[in-house]
Amino acid sequence: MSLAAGPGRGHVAHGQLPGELRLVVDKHVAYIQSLDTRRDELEYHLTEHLRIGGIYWGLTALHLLGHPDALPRDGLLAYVLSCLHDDGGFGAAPGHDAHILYTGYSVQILTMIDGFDALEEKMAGGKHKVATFIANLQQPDGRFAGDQWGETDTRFLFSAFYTLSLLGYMPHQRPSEPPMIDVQAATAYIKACHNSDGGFGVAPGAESHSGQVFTCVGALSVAGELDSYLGEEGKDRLGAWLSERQLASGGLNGRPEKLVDVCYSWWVGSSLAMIDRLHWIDQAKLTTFILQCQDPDQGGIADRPEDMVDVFHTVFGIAGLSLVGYPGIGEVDPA
Amino acid sequence: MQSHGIPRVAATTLDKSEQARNKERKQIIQYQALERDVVDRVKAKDYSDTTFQLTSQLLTQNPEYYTIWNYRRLILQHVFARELAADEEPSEQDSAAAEKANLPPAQHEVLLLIKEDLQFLIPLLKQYPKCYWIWNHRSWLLGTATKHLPAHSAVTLWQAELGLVSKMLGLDSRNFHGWGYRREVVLAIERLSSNGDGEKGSRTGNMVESEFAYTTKMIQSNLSNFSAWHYRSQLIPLLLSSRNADTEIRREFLDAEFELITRALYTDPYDQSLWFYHQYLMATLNPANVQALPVLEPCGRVQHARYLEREIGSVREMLEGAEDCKYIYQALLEYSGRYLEVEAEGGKVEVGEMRGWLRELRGIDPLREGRWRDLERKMGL
Amino acid sequence: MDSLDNTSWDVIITGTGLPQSLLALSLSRSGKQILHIDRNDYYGGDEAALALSEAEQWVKKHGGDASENADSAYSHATISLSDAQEEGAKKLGFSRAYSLALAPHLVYARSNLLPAVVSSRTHSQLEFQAIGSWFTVTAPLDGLPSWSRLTRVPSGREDVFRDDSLDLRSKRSLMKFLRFVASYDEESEQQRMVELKGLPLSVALKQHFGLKSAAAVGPLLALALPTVSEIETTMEFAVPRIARHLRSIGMFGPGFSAVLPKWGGLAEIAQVACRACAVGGGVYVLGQGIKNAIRAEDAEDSKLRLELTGGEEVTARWLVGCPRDLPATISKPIPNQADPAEDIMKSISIVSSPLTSLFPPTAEGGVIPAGAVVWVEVAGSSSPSVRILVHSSESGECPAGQCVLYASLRGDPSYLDTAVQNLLESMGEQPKPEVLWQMQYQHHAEAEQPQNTTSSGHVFTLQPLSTGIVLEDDVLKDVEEAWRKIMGNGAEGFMKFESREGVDEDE
Repeated sequence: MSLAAGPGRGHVAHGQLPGELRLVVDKHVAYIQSLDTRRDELEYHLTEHLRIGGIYWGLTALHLLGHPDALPRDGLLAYVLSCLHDDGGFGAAPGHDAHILYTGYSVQILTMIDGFDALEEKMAGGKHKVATFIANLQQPDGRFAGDQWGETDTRFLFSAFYTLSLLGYMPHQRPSEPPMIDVQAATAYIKACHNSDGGFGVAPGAESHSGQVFTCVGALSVAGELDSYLGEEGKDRLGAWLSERQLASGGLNGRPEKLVDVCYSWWVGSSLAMIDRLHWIDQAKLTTFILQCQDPDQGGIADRPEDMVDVFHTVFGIAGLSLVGYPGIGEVDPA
Repeated sequence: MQSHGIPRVAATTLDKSEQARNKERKQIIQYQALERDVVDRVKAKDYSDTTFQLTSQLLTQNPEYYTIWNYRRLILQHVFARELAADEEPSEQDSAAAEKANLPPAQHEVLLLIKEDLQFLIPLLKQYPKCYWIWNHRSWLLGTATKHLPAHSAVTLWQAELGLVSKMLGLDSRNFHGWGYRREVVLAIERLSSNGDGEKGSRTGNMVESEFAYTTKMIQSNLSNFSAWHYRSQLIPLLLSSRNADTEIRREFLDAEFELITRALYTDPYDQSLWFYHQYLMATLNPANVQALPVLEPCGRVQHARYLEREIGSVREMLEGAEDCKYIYQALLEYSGRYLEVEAEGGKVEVGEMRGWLRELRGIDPLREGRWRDLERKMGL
Repeated sequence: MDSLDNTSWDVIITGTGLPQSLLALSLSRSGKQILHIDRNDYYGGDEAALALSEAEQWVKKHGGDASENADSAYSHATISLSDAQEEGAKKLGFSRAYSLALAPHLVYARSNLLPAVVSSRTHSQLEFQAIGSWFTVTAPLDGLPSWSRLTRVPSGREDVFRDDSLDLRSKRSLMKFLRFVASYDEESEQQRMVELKGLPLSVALKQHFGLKSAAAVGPLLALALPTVSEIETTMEFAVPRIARHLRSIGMFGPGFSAVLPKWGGLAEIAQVACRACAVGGGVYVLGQGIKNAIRAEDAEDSKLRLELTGGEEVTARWLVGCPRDLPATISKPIPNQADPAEDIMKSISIVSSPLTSLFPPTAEGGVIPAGAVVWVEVAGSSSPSVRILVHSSESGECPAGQCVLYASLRGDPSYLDTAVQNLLESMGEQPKPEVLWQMQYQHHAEAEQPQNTTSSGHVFTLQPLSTGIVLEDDVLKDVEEAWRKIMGNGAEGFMKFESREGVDEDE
């Protein structure tokens, strides 16, 4: 799977009126299938550290498009398992060091292709091992490091939560066992990242950012604390901040006074959905914006109209369309 | 990483000439050979200078390759441990330099290695200012220096970082890696220069004045710099407590901030960042907002009401000549709603007027119609 | 090449001013046989940059009136040296330490010349420097003859925010005007622009934008740089020019809108363009013009036969130049001089101070600019103001510790020196900076030629640059048209070249 950008670019097809825009499902499927055929490009090799991410994004997009089998299951399974380390962590590609983000992506892929049995076959007690890898990255103050080198980020915390949840190792899923992680310390840390404008930052004191809002709201949601913590007042404030991300073009940005980008269709949109405020933005205009970012000839979606397409923006564009109920796309769980 | 903002002119991969294709093939072979070499050496625990230089080569081509950063740290850890454990006599020249730096020779060696690596990162940071791994590695180097070196030596390293991060923010004033790193740097300097009295994570506040001045400078060169406004908002409570501000000083301070933001809002009422800062100042007065940092301590109900009245009046005046500015109506509605909660009689605001504002707002901002519908219901308009 | 006699060419370009040189650049890799000549013994034509001794020679040649200088855009040139020079207190540097531009220009970041410079791969040989701040110098008040005030022009939102001389409402009004300017050509503002375009700027500001303070008008005029008085400056003139300024800000870095090419301005671009053509095989001869031309002797090969000023005869398929470089016998009579009232008076002054305060950094952490623009009001709002481009020694045009002032005006030439003196006075430096050397001259406007008459047969006439101080966006229009004609229909890739280095690397 290539993470290299291109080859196509997003634009409105010649002679097409905005009202006639439609999602070119077959083209997007073909685009994702073509991504692993670009080994003659240097960029393909320079982006190897993102390979697992690319597979996860591509596969998710295919699931949403209703073509879950468009990539061969056996190949995917073998590839994912070849990224597994003895300590239960996954790297981004075979030979790459284990990291919480790629462990999360790998577990997502295994979930989608029903691969946990194969994991157990390869490594006895595999699920438990993976969960232990994640749990060991938690710091005393509740945060999660990305790997043994200690960088922390709310992205990693969210990754830890959803991964454990998919594996069935979140403490509330196993009430009879001693908890593997300290959920309360983790959510306390998230609350410390909450700003008075309603949004969340990457660390206590950092400015609000849509991507961080998604990870923090997502983590609170997995922990089951979202409603009780935010309350209607908090949801109104966060919803107001998030809804101001939509600009006249219909697209969404990540922070005040920044450019719109298709990937925020997902970060902002799903955060709004989790706090029941998705109707606070214009969903029809968002749909039009996303469709303008697709390459109607070769498939793929770009960050903005006219830019080069890539698989990352392709999946978040499609997930955005799914959120707003675009016909023919599978439903997505906001968290 | 992803193709954020790559314009279409770059999308010419399809029509590469045969010559270009050959060249690319050659580059791929070279890159893969280099990668193989580095991986094999590290797997064989070859932590030599040659391996280290090869990681430099590879990272210069591909700074997103996180595993190689990990290898680089493995090598450095190994070298540091060897230096610090060494009992061989350093050369006379080395000892003299170490003495000058007021460090034992082994620690001086470590310091030099760290400085060299920090230097290696600078052109990479300039070229890839949004690459997480480069910022991480820098942070790791500084953290390692703090661990191995005495405070007087580590703190000079951190102080140099302040200059670097200012330069980076001069190039891109919204880079959130840069702002995050700045917070880290300031915390480290404050902690190290307070002789370790400060607890981990707490602010001694001895840089709060200069940091506050820095936000003023950044705002003056770009009013839309929400990152700077946000940082300012975070510094204010610290600033006031480091000034031992009493009630009167706090009130004066708050008024000066209101004056500043009003001046900015008159200049450009269409800028979101400015309204968020106004909203922040108002939130500091609102005991119901638990995320808000206190400025006036305490702020009673009556005082809260007076501020609301004053600011509603001031914002209402901003309407003249900017009747098409949605943020003004949003602010008026929000502050009026709060005012009616605080002051039941609500002498200064009439429901009829609020309905008018909402009507204007819905006309200007149909994108968020759902939100305005909810607001109408919530406020009983 | 020993003699040009009886040589044959695809293209002869006459004159090495900017338009001709850009054409040479555009043809530099065409494989065409190109002869590029200039009757002057220096490069750059009307845009030349001269050392002091060259300038003195030039003044001798251009001292007469317009009729004595029929083949030149300049006349009435004189040199005046200040007393300071005689006292020897402040010294001029040696002749070669100066590179004085006859026609200095502001090149806005949005100018379409710059992308062409990049795509033609000539940018690596050029150095562009920021023109940072704009200033106004207000006229001395009656009874206070020596008093004049220097004010920096707020040229963006942050400047308006910081400007303490503006009250809240004026800030609002000024920003409202600037926002209108930013979108004046969009559909939403079209109707408004139609209504306002005939109004003087100062009147529109007061009546339609609520800007009551007259002090805000001068700065806006300074950004528009009209050659006429305040009351004659219409919205139609001012708005697009202010917009060009605002839209250019930040394109090349924070806080500035325009650049100047180091080492003598446009002459430097002309030289680099000629060098590129020479590398591609073009032949360069200075001190040769076209004396006479005979139409094609042999209609079949449709070549022009031309007599050069040195007496040699050459043939060419194409002849291109600006009107003053072409002999009357070939295309048409030299166009009549435009109305002399349109002529621009210019002066170049070398000043004994770096005038550092005119060059503040462009932004927090920004660059130190090499250029500044000063708008000097000399005789009230009913008379045109003087525009002064100030270049610091960083521009490479004078030695360190000095700077060069390029003043221009349509009107009474004695105002030029008044303006220079007022500016120096307003700096508040002690002692007052002195003018070490100064020349004055007249720059004739070229009569506008209708586009379809600029070429006849195989002769193509390029429109010379205007007498203004802003490089206009149409500088490449004629050049591209000439290039298209010469290259034949369907030619593609105007000014687009692969890097020569890149080709070498692949081999």
